[in-house]
Amino acid sequence: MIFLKQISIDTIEELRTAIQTAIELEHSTIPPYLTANFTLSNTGNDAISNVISSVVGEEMLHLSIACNLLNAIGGSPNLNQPEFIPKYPGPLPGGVDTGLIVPLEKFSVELVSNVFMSIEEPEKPIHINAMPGAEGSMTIGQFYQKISDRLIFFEKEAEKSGKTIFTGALGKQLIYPKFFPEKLLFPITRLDAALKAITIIVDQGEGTSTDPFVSPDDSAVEEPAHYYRFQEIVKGKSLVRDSSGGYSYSGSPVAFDPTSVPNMKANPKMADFPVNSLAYQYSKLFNFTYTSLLNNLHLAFNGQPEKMDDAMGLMFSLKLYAGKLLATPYPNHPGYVAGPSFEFVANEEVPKEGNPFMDKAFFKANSLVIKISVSDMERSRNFFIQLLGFTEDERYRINSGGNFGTESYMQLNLTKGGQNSVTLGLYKDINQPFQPDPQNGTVPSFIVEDIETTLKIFQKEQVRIDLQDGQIIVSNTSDQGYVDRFFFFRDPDNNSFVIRENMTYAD
Amino acid sequence: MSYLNSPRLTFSGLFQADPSTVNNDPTHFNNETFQPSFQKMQEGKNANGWWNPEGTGNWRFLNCDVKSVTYLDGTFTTNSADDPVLSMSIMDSGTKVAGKIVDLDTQQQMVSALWGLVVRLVSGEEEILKADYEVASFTNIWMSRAPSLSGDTTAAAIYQSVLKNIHWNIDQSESRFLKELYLLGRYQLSIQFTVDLYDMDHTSPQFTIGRITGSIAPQYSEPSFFTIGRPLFPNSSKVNYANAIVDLEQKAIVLDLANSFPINPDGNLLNNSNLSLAVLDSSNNNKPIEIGVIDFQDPNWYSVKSGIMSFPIADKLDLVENNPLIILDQNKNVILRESVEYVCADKFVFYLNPGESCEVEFYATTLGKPLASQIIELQLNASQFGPTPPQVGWPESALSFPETVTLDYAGRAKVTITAGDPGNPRGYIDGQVYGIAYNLSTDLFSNCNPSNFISILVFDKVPEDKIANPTWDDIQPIMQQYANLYPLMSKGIFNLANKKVVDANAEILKFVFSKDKTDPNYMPATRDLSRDKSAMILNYLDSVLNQGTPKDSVTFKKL
Repeated sequence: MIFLKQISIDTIEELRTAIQTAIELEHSTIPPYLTANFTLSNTGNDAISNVISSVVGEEMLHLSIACNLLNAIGGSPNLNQPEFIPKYPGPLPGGVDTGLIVPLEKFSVELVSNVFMSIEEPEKPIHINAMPGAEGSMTIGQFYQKISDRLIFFEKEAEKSGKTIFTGALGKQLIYPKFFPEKLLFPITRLDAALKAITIIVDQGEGTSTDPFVSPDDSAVEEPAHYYRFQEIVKGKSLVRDSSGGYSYSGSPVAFDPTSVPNMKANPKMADFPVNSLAYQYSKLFNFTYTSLLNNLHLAFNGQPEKMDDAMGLMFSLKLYAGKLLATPYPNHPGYVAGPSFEFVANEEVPKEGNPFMDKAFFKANSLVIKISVSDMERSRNFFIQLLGFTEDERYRINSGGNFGTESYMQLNLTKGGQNSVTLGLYKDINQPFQPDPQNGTVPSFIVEDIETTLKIFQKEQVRIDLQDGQIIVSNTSDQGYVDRFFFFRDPDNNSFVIRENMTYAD
Repeated sequence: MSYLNSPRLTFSGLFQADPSTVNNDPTHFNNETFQPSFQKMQEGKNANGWWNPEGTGNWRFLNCDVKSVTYLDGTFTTNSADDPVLSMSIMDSGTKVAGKIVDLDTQQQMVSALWGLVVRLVSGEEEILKADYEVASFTNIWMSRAPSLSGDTTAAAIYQSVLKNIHWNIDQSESRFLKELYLLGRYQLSIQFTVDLYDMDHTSPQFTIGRITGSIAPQYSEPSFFTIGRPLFPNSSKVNYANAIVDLEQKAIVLDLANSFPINPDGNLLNNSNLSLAVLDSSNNNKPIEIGVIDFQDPNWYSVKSGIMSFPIADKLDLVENNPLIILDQNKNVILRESVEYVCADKFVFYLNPGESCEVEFYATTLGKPLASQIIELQLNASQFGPTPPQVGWPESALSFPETVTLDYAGRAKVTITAGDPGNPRGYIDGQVYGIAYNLSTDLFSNCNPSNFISILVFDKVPEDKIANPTWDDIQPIMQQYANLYPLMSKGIFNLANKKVVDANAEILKFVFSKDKTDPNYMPATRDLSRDKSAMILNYLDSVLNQGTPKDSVTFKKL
């Protein structure tokens, strides 16, 4: 069962924040459900796929209902920010930290029983004992109950002075009868409609305490609530009513045949794919399409409901790109295929680490290698590795004469978060350190978190530090008021470098 | 005013074109003989479904950045410190699906058009300009662009069109360029780009990606799909057509050589020796008088300047206005020469249903000025079409148009082309594809630019009663063909050949089949469904919906 952080809702603004959390929560289940479902495409597992798809469709309905609700009380749903998408694997939005970790991975019965059913687990599952709640937490049902209670409270308060909290424009309410029956997705302009809408979300998700089937009022077709629907997959049979009035998993088979399910590596990330790979290309196009879908929904729920017409195409497009990813080998991981990562990619500047399609030629550089003149290759290598955290990429090593003589070369990378941020090429083209010291020319700066600590270490290691007018650490203030602090040091060959602390704004 | 005038911006980067290729072979349209292997990737000598059987049809800009601006006064900069537009990107839609690349017909694949494309100028997360790209086909395709490569990778082509329905978000912008662009191009912009180095190797990380460079400028008083100017014709197949304008405001010749010279696989020119632009002096034995050096040593000439070069002609304006231009190599050999008298149709690709007409607008010039009162000859010509079978361009009686038309005082003429019912001459392919060649009566078509040619797809007629009351058997062959030819769709989303699937998804299918053809969500993405068959399918879907069979209320079951 999912436990959410206990929240207090004392103002209408806090109520809007809570409903925005509800929107994020409803959305957050869609990527993991869709990912599992994408891996079932054309594998002969249609019965399971239909179960997952029907849940996904209702999560989309719930997201739409929550957006209508937020619009109804004068809020503005926010769906097109990077933070809108949770990190996978990770907890769901609003969840307690010790809660469930939700991954993006291929379909398996274990994924359904361990994760999907936990997400959807009602407070008191029928025939199943409830888990004890964590301290200071609440269930999704309790969360929605709280929203309902506060809607009633604030509306009654407003009524006392002849007002209402339902101040949102009717034009922002989205209905979409082509795909969602109007009894499930309707304009929310009053308290009774708001409460009914919340009932639909909770009933479809959890069912009631006495009936695993969704009440006919809250559903288009007779179907179990999400938890019990997922249980059909685990039990391998659909849920049916017994003649005795009870329920059993004894209906039509919902069997799993893993034979042709693609072996997707769990929790892929676009940045994990080499930029010059088909997996990267498809991942970027998938993510761009997904981000376009969020942009589209954002517009649809902020006054342009007609935009919903374009959402359909984007959803199908997502499925097609997922299919391409799942048919593409995962680079450097034999036996695995790539998969969808559901990341926010809105423009060509993302990701910042690389320049994806530019290896082809000519327009732009991909990265930078700085050549350093060196007299003693091994000494300099140790200097940069030990003091500044470089590692050597030995593929590039040229050991001239077997003793690192003239024209020897070593390439050192500074790596952060799996990405190279700078590369040095040590090249032996001098026989002794520069003398006198070079006083100008190219001076690379290394950015550090904490300049004082770095300085202490440098002093302990007896690195040569150049004083500036008698001071070690000096600073500059930019025209915009940013301050950066830095000091100069020399490598063993007297090449000049700078250590600089990240800019801070001087207030 | 069009893309060669100022103010203009240039951009470059990459593009993706992801067409499905099962339909590249006309015989694959035959449901009777279709084999499952036709949906597979080609293997060695086995063509199967060619090189991209699972193409999405998508066409999009990738990593396209603004590279330079030329202001109204002719000044030029590439520095983003001068103008913030120089740190912006050109992108396609961020809120709906990608535009589509669409062949006119399986037997006329040399005028592929972009449908439903949105063009945006984007700064970080912010959309500065958004516009609809008017459907346009590529032209001047040149198969010898990268002669050492093979297949489509050897080719280059240009797209020219207009941007409409422009949404401007420049109130907060400090860009001088954008202010000038808005001033002159508020309602319509001209956009032109050259594409080459397309990668069709499905094992390559750049698969379906190629190189693009282009420009955007205000558009008015010009044809939409070409620029009236000073067309330069190549003297050999090693060089390709070029165009230039005389910009009277700037007193300059603006020359576009983006699609004119051969390149190495790395994108650099095969031969980067400088050339010279000259004018033939008719008062002095046609002696070439140099106007300027074409600087191919400039590393920015292509990717930054989009192959567009400007040559001041203050002292030679009169000479240039009255004499043809030439381009000379270092040995003073003429390699491109202006075609003094020239005629070009604006829109040159049409779809017609029986009973429908289209209007072709011709513009004729002599040295860039209107060529009045001459005659244009038109004739059917299917020689550019194929592969065959089935036979193309017949029956000729299905198309009617005048054999000649006379240009008016402004060098313009309009011709109406009317379609009848071809009567299903191709059997398993709907309708027939027709070509119309045209030329000035003083010239021969064989001397013209072969891209100056009209392509028309005429659809078959379906009997009224079939349209009104279709059964599944009536639409099954159409649906089977789509299921065969577009495996990505049939395997990934809807198997249209399956009545159960079609019936269960009647609502969403009706939704996409009834979209406007210019909507990127329109189905079929190939836009080769006739008016009559489209109506027949919609009527079938309506009949399913009206039966009230429980529709698939959760369309997302397809996801």
